[in-house]
Parts: sequence; C-alpha cells; structure tokens
Amino acid sequence: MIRIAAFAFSCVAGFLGFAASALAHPHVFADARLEVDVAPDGTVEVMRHVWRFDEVFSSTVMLEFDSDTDNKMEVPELEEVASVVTESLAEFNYFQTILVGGKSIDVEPVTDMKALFQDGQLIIFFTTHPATPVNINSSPSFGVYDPTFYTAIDFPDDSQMVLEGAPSGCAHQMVVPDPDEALAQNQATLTEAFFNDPQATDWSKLLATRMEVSCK
Amino acid sequence: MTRHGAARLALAAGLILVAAGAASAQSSLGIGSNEVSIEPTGGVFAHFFLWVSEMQRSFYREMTGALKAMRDDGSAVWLLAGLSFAYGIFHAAGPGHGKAVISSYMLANETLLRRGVILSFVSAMLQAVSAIVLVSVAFLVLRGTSIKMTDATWFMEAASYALIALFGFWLLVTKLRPRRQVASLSSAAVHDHGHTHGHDHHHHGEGEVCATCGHAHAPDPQMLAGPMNWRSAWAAVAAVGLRPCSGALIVLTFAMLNGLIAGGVLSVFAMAVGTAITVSALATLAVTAKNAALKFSGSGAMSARLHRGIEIGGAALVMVLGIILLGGAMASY
Repeated sequence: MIRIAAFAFSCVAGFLGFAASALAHPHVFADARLEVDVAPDGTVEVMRHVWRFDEVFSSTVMLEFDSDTDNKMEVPELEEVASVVTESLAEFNYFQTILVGGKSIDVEPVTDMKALFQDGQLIIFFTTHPATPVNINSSPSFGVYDPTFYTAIDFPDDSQMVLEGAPSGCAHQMVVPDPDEALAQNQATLTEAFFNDPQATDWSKLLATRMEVSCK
Repeated sequence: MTRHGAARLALAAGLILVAAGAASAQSSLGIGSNEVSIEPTGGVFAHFFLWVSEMQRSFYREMTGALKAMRDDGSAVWLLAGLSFAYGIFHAAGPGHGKAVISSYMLANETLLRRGVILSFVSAMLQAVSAIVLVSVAFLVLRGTSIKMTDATWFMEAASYALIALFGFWLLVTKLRPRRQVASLSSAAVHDHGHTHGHDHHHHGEGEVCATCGHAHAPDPQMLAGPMNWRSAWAAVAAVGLRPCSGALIVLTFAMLNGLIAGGVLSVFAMAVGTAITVSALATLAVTAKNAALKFSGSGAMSARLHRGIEIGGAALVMVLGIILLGGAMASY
C-alpha cells in the first residue's frame, strides 16, 4: 500500500518538478553587434560588443539609477550602471562562449564597460579578450548568450557580426540555432548529462547565436 | 514500513525530483529580477516547455510593444489588456507563480475543487497587488535613494520563499501528528464521533423510514472544509502572493515613468487573471488526481493510509519547494 502511495506521490512530484523546470523566458531584449579583431599573427586580439537594450527594460534602469530623479542619466549614474552590469556579467563569463574544436575558452575580466542612454534606451559597450590565445585558423566560434534566459541578445542580421584583420582565406557566418532542433539533436546526451549534474548543462554551447569562422 | 518511513520516502522522492536546483532569482545583468527557474531537463516535457517559453516570449514582446504604442495612442489599451491576459496564461505555465506550491498544498489539504480555484485567483491577484505596491514605493519613495527596486524585490522574494518553507513545515507537522479523527472514522457507525464538522443530524421517531440514514462515514469534502483549513489556505495565499512577478514589475515601471499608470495597472491585473486560470487548471488537476486515487483505492484502512500518504507527500513538497527556492535566492544575494 505504502508503495502505491509512494508511487502516486512520485508521479505528482515528477509532474510538479517538471512543471517547475519550465524555461524562464527573456524579460530583457538587446540588439547586439559583435566585432572580432584579428592581429597580424592570426590570434584573436579583441572582441568588441555593443548591446542596445529595449525601452521597457531601460525604464527600469532609469528608475533605479537616476539618483537625482531628473529623468536624465548623467555620467556618474551611467558609470554606476556599467559597474553593476560588469560585476553581474562576470558571473556568467560575460555571456561569451568561445569554442575551439568543441572546447570552451574563457575570457579575461572586463575592465572597459561604458554605458550610454539614447532615446530612452540603454546602450553598453565593452571588449572581451580570450584568456588563452585563440588562432583564427583553428576554426573558432564566438557565441553570445545569456545562460539564465533573462536577456535575449539578438543580432538583427549578419552585418552585425564583423570579422576584421583575418587572412583572406577566412570566411565567417552567423549561426542562429533553432532551440527545438538543438534539443532534439542532443536529447540523449542532455538527459544523461542532466541526471549526472543538472547544473552543468551548458545551454550557451547549444543555443547561442554565434559567429563561425572557417579558414582555408 | 512505518509512517515515518513513508514520510521519509516521500520527502526523498520529492527532493530528488525537484533537485534540479533553482537558478538565482537575481538577474544576470544585476538590474531587475529574473524568474526563479529550474533549468530545462531535456526530458519528455522539454519540447512542451520550450513551446511555452516561445509563446511567453512572443506575447511578452507584443505586450511591451502595445505598451509603447499606448504612449501615442490611448486606444491601444484594450490591445494591451488582451495581450497581457494571453501572456498571463502562458506565463503561469512557466516557472514561478506558485503553481507548484498551490497544487502541492491542494494535495496536502484540500478536496474541494472550488476552493482550489478561489485560492489560485486570490494568490494571483495578491501578486498583482504586491507588484503595484512595490513599483509605487520604488517610484514615490525609494527613487533617488540608495535602495534599489531590485534589492526590494529580492527581499520580498526571499520572504515569500521562507514563508512557503515554514508553511510547508507546519503542514507536514500537522499531517504527521497521529489523527484521532481518522481512528474514529474507521471505527465505523458510532454516531457520536466528536462533532466538530457541522452537518446536522436529523432525528426521527421510531418506525419512521429514513432514506438518508446509514449515510457513508467517509467525511465528505464539505465537512473537512472547516474554518481551520481556511486559515491555512490564507497562509498559502499570502506566502505565494508576496512574490511579485518580474514581467509585471518591468511593465509597471515603464508605465509609471511614461505616465501610463492606468494602462500599467490594467495590464498587470489582466496578467493576473490569465495566470489564475492556468494555476486553477493545475490545482484542479492535482485535486482530481488525488480524488481519483482515493476512489480507486476503495474504502477502509488502505484508503485512509493512501490519503495520508498523499497528504504527507504534498506537505513535504511544499516545504521542499520553499527550501529550494529560498536557497536559490540566498545564493544569488
């Protein structure tokens, strides 16, 4: 009997557990631009990022950081925004996924974030540097994705992903994964990985919009 | 197996299944709050939730679009209300919104469908009110001070989760305490079992025929729904309703800063109605499943024990959910 009760309960717990495991959806939307600069020796020198946030989220920024309540964001206020964002992003590798042959490469801490308010929209600028040298000939990919699903980083079109200074044999393209497909393709490994370590599943690797580089 | 063994088993099962672990409530940008989410499992439901997430995302975008349109054209308010309602329906199927808490509570304590629906609506409305109060305070009082709305939200969230965990613990203790009532019920047709539940016993003279006599001695749902249960139900509502929804906060903030207060409030209540419908549906599902299980198990001691098993499990689940969510909020501070 107790077994029946335990079974019934497991079903219910399973249902609720899965229900609770639903994906959060993004509350913040940013139009992004990425420029990857390659040094003459073929290593990736710097990645430049521009993120323009939606007006609705930007109003939250205004409410929280406009300390003199004049509905304008002055330099010290914007500096505070930049420092809060930098600090938070640091916990998520600045939403960066650099992959070389399936291996992730971290980025160095960001030190140069600038914030700007324009037409009611927050814009941030910053650069990232790979922590270990990445050669452009090793077919790297550069992804930008919020693993917490809070922010949707959208690249409106592939002109917003720029590769500069690369040898002439190098081509790049923007890849926007279809979440449904990514999930289906990785079903088996995902389920296994999930049961081994639920927190370790790296969604950025699967779902990030990325620049893929291939050199001849 | 002993009762405690069963309870421990139930708790363990709950822990394992919900142990996906809550991601941080604080947002990755450090501004605004994210929904507490447990990461997608890649299990059989993953596609369904991906779809739910897509729907939420598109309704959310259209909703914020309508909000912006309202700045120039006041008639967009009805479009905004409709989109907010639709967003609420899908949003409640996503993380948060106490649907798991309300459903577990219904398993632990309730047999009345009607009450599940009322609880869902009241807690959703309370969530809307708490969002409106929070943004108003942030706008009128906190603005320009060093206290950020993000921090205030975090505090309310943590308080809500702590209350849920406490409430679950209290529920569990109540359920684990041996119940005299159950014993008296199984001792069949004795008519003087301490009548706290108020159904009227009619009396009739000798030889009189009575169709309703020999009525079943399982307590009918109406009888269980005493004032005590209502009090615990309000505790559940308060615990859940304290946590405002992230989407509502963002929408309200934009509305306030752009002088669209009425539109923002309408939007938040429309969201709450949509949310309440989904949560009601889930609570109804939980109660129906519970009642069906009890029906199938027949009557007598076995049914009583199954009933107990489900109730203890439900109570344990409320507590576990509270603890996990609180853990997530603490970790993100």
